[in-house]
Amino acid sequence: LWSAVQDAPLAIIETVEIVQRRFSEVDEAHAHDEGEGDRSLTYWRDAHRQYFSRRGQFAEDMLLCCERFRVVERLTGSTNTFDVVDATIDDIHAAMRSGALTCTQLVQSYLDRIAAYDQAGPK
Amino acid sequence: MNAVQNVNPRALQEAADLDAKFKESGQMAPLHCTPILLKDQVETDFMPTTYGSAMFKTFVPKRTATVVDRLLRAGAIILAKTNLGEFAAGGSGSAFGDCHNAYNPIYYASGSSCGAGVGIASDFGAAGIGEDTAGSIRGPASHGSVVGLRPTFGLVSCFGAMPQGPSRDTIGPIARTVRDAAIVLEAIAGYDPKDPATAASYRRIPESYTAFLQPNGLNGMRLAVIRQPMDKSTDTNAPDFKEVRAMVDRAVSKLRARGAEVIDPIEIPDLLRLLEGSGTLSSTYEMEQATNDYLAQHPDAPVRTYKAIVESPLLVESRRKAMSDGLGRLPTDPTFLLQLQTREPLRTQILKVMADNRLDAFVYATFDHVPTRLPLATPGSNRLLSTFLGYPALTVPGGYSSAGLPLGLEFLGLPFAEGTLFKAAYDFEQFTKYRQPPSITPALSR
Repeated sequence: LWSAVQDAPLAIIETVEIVQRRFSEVDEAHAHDEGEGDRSLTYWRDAHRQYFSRRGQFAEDMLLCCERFRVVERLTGSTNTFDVVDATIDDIHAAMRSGALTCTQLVQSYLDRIAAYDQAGPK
Repeated sequence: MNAVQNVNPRALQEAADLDAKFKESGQMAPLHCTPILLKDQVETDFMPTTYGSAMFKTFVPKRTATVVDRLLRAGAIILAKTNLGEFAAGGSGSAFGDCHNAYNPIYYASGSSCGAGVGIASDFGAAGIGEDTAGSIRGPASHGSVVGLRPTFGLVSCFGAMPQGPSRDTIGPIARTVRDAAIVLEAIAGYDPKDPATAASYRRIPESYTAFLQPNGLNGMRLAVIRQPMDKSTDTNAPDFKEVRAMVDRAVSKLRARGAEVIDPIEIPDLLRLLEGSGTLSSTYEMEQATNDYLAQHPDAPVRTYKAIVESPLLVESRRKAMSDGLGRLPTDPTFLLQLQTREPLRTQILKVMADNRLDAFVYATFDHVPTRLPLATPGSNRLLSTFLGYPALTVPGGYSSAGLPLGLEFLGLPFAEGTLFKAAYDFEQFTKYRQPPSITPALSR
C-alpha cells in the first residue's frame, strides 16, 4: 500500500478476496468494513453515489470490484511517525516516553494542520 | 474552518523547554505538552483576548485566568486562542467571522465555543477549553462529534473569563475522548479564592476523575431517557427529528446491552413550563451589570461599558438584538428574580424524579434536530436544563445524521457527580466508538 500524499510505502497488505458486485448489491457488512462515515450502508451509498456521479459514471447497476485485504505489516520507517489525528493525551505521552515523539514535533504537527486546513482548507 | 484566531507565538519555545525538562527529569506532569485550544473569552496576559470582537482585536489583558494558570502548572501549552460567537453567544463574531462545521463547512458548528469545538474535531490541538452559559460547550462539541462537559456550577473557576450571565457561567473541557475530558477536568477543578462561587466545590471533589473510567461502568447503572422536547422550536414532525429519535433509540439499546437499567421514556411533570419560567437562552438581565463590573477590572480595555459595546457599529449584526435587549436591565428586575425563583422547583422536580426512580443520570439528545446549514442555528436545543439546574451535563458522540453530520447524546447528573457521568459515558464511548475524524481534514504527509 503506497501513500500518494506522503510518496512512501505505508503497509504490506494481502488480498483476501475480490468479488464483483453491482452498486445496488453492496451490503451493510461491506459498508461497515470499508469504515467511512458512520459505517452505515446509507452513508456508503450516499458518499459513493456522489463520488461516481462527480466522475459521470454513476448507475444503480454499475459493476464494482470489491476487494477485501488484511494488513500483513505496517511500515513506519520515517523519523516522526506519530499521527496526531485523534491522538489522545495518553497516546501522546506514550509516544514521548518511547522516544518516538518530542513536544516540539507534536506542537509543529498541530501548527501544520492549522496552517493547512483552518483558513486554507475545505470551504 | 475558521476555528483559530491567534496562534501562541511562544508555543514552539515552550515545547522546547518542556522537551528539555522531560529529558532531564524523566517526569511528566498530568498535562505534559498537551497543546490546548482556548476559547478567546478567557484572559491570557501573553496573547490578545478578543472575546470574538473587532473592538478588542489587539487587547492584551494584564492578568491571566485561573483556568489558564492551572493548565500551565499541569504542564500544558496554550497552543492557540479560538473563535467564538461575539461576547460568548452564537457562532459568529466581528473579529474573525463565522465558524464552520468540521464535517462539512457549509453547516453550522454551533456556539459559542465554536472554535474550540471545531478545532478539537479537526485535530488542531489535543484538548480544548470552552465556556458554557446556555450550552456553549456542549453545542460545538455535539456538532463536532467530540466530548464536552459543562461542569457543576462552582466546580471550575471563572475568574478571568468575560461573564455572560454570572448565575449560569461555567468553564469546562472539550476533548475527543471521555478520558481526555476527565484528565483536563482534574487539572482545572477546585476552589479558587478569586471566584468565591467555587467554594461550593469544597470537599466535593473526588481524588481522581479518571478512576471512574472502568470497562463495565454502565453495568447496573440506572438511567432514564427524557424524550419531551425542551425547546419550543422543536418540530416533532420534521424528518430530521425522526433521525435524532432513531439516534436515541440506538443509544438506548447500546446502554442496555452494556447492562444499564434504562427507563424509557421518563416523564418530568411540567418540564417545559419550568424551563421557560427559569429564563431564556440569553442572559438578558445579567449581561449589562456583569460586563460593566468586568470591564472596570480592566482600566486599559479599549471599550469601557456594555452600552458602548452595544452601540458600536463593529458589533456583529447577529448579536445586536439580543445584546440590545439587555440594555438598561438589572438583575434586581422582578422578572429575573422570578426566573431565579423558578429554578428551585425545577431542581426539586428533577431531584424528585431521580430519587423516586433511584437514578444515576438522565440521558437525552443534545439537540432534537440535526445541524443546519449556515447561517441558520440548529433548533431544538436541550442544553438549557442543566444551565438552570447548575448540575453537570456531558455530551458525547451519538453517531451521524444521514448527511454525515454529528449528533450528540447528553448525560445529566447530580451536582458534583461528574465522575458518574464520566463512568457512564466512557463505557458508552468504548462500546460504540461513534467518533470518526472528519474525512475532509486527513493526516498530512510527514
